[in-house]
Amino acid sequence: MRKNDKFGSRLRSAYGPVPSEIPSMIHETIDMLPERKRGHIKHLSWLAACIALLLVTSFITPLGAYAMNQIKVFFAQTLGIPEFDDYANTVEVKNTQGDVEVKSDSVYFDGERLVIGYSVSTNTKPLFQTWMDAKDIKLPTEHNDYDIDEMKAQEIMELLNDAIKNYDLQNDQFKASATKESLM
Amino acid sequence: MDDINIAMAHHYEVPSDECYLVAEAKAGNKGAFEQLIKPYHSLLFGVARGLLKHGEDIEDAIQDTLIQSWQKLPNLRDDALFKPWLMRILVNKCKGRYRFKITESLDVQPEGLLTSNDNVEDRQLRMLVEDLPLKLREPLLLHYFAGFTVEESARILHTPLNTVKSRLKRSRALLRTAWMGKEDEI
Repeated sequence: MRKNDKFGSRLRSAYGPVPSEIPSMIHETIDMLPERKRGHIKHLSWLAACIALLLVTSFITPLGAYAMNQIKVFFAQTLGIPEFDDYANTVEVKNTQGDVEVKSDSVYFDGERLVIGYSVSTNTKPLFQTWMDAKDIKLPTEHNDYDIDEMKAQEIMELLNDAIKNYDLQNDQFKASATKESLM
Repeated sequence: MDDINIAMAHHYEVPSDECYLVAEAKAGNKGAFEQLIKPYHSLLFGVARGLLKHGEDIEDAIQDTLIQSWQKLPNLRDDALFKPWLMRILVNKCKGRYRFKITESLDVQPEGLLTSNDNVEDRQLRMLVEDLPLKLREPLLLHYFAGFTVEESARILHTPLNTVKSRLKRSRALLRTAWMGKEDEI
């Protein structure tokens, strides 16, 4: 027998025998352990919490709204809604008045409605911080939906351009030329 | 707690049903957890006994280990690493108790559950091991008693490999010197 093995078995002999109290103590301890949620329930709880957080942030931050929109776009495309068109990559329209800028950050046509997501910011600060400023001066940051009939892509882009250019920053609304009625 | 990332092939044999029991215990099955722990009773007791002096502390350290391993088991990524993971928890619990006792005045209590089934040589060897500093005892017990390789012991202890090697060498040298007449066994 090698020296190491000999020493190992010596140690095992010295420390090895388990007194009878130990197994019963272990049994009692395990008996008293708190019930644990099943793994998948825990995962589902996390998922639900994430969705709730996303929903909340989508109402209060432009970034959350953007994330929400991307999810909407993803599902619409994956599920194959036939008339769904995403213009987020092709249309970027902004209108600046003084330090304040209104910019489209998501645009899509779901077959019934043209949905324009836009954010408000100032030139001097990043979007998220600016949103706080925008809130202070009571500018809207939510998405606006406009019901329209089916249109071609070019017409929609023109409409969007007009809509954002005609946004009245002072009165916090679209000007008369781009109201819901005129867009339809 | 992070998994112990043992890149090399496991030195020890993972019992065939252990991964199944780990999965069941992760899902909240206490019976499976008890079955999972069963083969490690002597390991838990032996290592705790080697690191702590008093029977009461040993029991508490094992209980704390069971509670924490039950709570943290769902975080164990590689089910095959249950044994070193369990040992890491135990060593940390023992270290915590050891430090606590050092800062308190050492109140020596009767050994209680430690007095049974002893022969003189075993008791002598344990006394010699007890006299070693904790940092020398840890690798000694993990490597020679629990059967982990030097590399695995180093990972369990979060200690560089060379440090563990030199601690093992030093602990054996100290034991050899102390155990007159039995040097050839160490």
